[in-house]
This record gives sequence, structure tokens and C-alpha cells, in this order.
Amino acid sequence: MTEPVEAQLIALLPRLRRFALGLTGSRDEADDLVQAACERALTRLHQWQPDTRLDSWMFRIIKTIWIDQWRSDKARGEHVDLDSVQPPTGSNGRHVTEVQNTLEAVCRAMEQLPEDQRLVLILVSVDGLSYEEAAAVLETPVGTIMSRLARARRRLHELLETPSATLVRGRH
Amino acid sequence: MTQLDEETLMAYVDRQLDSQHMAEVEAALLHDPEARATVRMFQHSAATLRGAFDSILREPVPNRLLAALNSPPTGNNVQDIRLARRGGAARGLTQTVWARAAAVALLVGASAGYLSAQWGQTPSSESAARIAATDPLLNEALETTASGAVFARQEREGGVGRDILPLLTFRDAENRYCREFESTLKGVDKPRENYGVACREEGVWQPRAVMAGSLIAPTLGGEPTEHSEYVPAMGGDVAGFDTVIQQLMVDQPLKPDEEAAVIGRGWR
Repeated sequence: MTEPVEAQLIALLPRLRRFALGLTGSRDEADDLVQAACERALTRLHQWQPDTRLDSWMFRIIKTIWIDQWRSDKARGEHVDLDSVQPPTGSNGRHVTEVQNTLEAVCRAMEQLPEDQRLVLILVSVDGLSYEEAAAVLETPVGTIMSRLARARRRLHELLETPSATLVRGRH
Repeated sequence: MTQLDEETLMAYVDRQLDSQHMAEVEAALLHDPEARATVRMFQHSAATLRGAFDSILREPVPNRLLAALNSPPTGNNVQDIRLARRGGAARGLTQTVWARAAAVALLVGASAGYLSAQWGQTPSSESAARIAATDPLLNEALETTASGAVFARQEREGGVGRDILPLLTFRDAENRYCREFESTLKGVDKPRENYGVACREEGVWQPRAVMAGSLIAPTLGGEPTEHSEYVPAMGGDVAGFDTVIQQLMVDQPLKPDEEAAVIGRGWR
């Protein structure tokens, strides 16, 4: 009837990577995060109810791992450095570079946002979940989702439209 | 008049309002240049975000992620562990058992209810208590024997023997130890095998679920040919059994060294 869960997870990988990149701002960390989430998911498949959405469940696992990681890094006083966001391969070098610059700039700007705003922003504005779906993933009321999202978008706009703000705060 | 606060305008841009509300906002925007600027800001931020990240979706996924999904970590998978332990210790057991035939003896009668219990006929708590009272061998086996090792007892001279093979040890949500086991009664007219899960409560191993082995043995490995008459129509019972275990199990099964340590401590 349905595909095996492993196959469904493989189909989800591009979205999971995108979600993780939005959270971490670094490709290597994003892939580490997705890998950890996949491994965790496979050992806990019994906790996933097949009549619920696998993507939401995976987003929640990624979120949990990321927040735990983030908090422990913070507790240790470590600064999570931004790896360079490596250019994707493409035939049109110039276009790729432009896209890359946007991605890098957006990633830098997103790092300025509090974690809860970043989460909503990626789920809704990048992944395209509805407010209700994002509320379900984050187990947060829809009203909270909306206020976080509005603040995140406003702040992101300020950061991206005032390049000096990004530059000054981008790297420590 | 629709209130054009920032969140409403954002929901308008994201098309998260119902159609009537959408129309109202649209009408109100005509007279509100400041709100229109806010709408543009939200549109721009949405487009920027989506555009920036969409390239990720078109990239090939790194092999290590595919590998993580294609080869589930061994040592964590209940099926793998069970098959490995059964394969190592129980091969001889299952094969020699089928060749034997002998008179039905005492033990069968004593544990008949236990042996025949199947899904859908879960023992009541009363019978569970009776089982524990009438199954000291199981208790001794689970108390003392490592997973993958056979606990063997001969009941009467020349009579019935019983092998118990613990397969898996884990904790349940109440932090009790639970063990999956296989029990084979030998020397009866037809060897009887069953599978079960027992949890240790107040020092006694109480069976939680027991299933006649005839229903699942062919799928669990070994697959004795004499047994083919019992091959179930579907593999559903195995899934059912694993479901019970996975519902009980919190976290991972104990590793061999952890199990040895806890057996050494008398399960404390």
C-alpha cells in the first residue's frame, strides 16, 4: 500500500537538508544534523504513527537534536562558527554565484534571529507549511507562530536591506 | 473595517486567510499605502527566502545520508538482534527438537494454558499470576541466563525437557526489566515452541504476552520443514509480536555487557 518508511525518508532528504541548513547556516552541520536525525528516526520508527505525517515527525526530530546541540554548545561557551557555504555545482557560473551570495547572505541574516523565530521562518517561508502545520510541528499555538514569523520576517528584511548591518554582525 | 495589523498582512501575503478575509484585506489595502508597503516587505522576504534555499532541493543528496537510511545501524534493530541470537544458540535446539517424539508428560498439563495462549486471548491477570506460580522454570531461566544462551532442563527421567532461550532484554516505561524469550517443550508428541515477553515485577518474571511458536516460528528463522503445516497465511503475527515489544520497550535493548552486569546484580 505505502512505500517503506526508509524510501519515504529518502524522498524527504532534500527538504530535510534545506530545513537543517536554515537552522545551522552551515552545510556540514546541516548534513550532520540530518544524518543524526535519520539514525534516530530509524531506531524509533515504532514511535511514529503511520497515519501522521512523516515530514512533521522528522522536522521535530531535527529540531530537538538541533536545540539540544545548540544549548549544549552555548552552555560550553562555544561559538558555532559559520562554515563557508560552498557553491553548488552548476553550468552557469555567474548565476550560481549570485544564488550563492543570496543563500549565504540569508543564512548569515538568519543566524541573527532567535532560534524559535528561525524555526518558524524555515517551516513556513522556506518549506511552505501552513501556519497550522507549523504550529503542529513546533507544538506551539498558531497565534505564537504568527507573531514569531512576522517579527522574523521584519528583522530579516532589515538585515538584508541594510548590508552594513549584516556585515557588522555577520562574523565574530 | 478590517484591521490591517502586521500579522494580518503577513497572513494575507501567505494566503492563510479565508477567501472573505482575503477580499476584505485587499479592499482595505487600496486606501492604505503604509499597509501596502508592509505587504511588499512580506512578499519580498518570502520570495527571498524561498529563492535562496530552493537550490538545495536540486542538489544531489550526499551519499552518507543515503547510506544512513539504507543500512540501519545494526545492534539497534530488534529483529537483527533476535535473529543473531537465535541463529547462534538456537539452531541446534530447533532442529533436533523436531525429530523427537515421546509421551506427553506432566509439564504439558501444568502449563497448557500458558502454551496455548495466543493473541486475542491475552491471559487475564488471574491467569498471569497462575502462570508465574506454575512456571518456575521460566522464572529461573530469565533470572539467570544471558540472551542468546539456552537454559535447558529435563523434568523427569526420560520425560519432558524444556529449553528456554532469552532473546532480548530491555526496560519498559516503568523502568522494569523485560525479556523476550523463546520456550521449547521437548519430548512431547509434537515439540511445542512459544514466544513471549515477561517483565520482572517484585522479583518475579511475569509473562506479558505469549504467543504459540507455531504461528511465528517459520518467519523467525530456522524454518523446520516438518513444521510447514503451521506456516501462517500472512506474516502479520510477527509484526504483531514486534509491535508488542516495541510498545513496551523504552530506548534500546540492553547490550550484552549491560545485561551481564544486571544479571550479576540480581536485576537491581
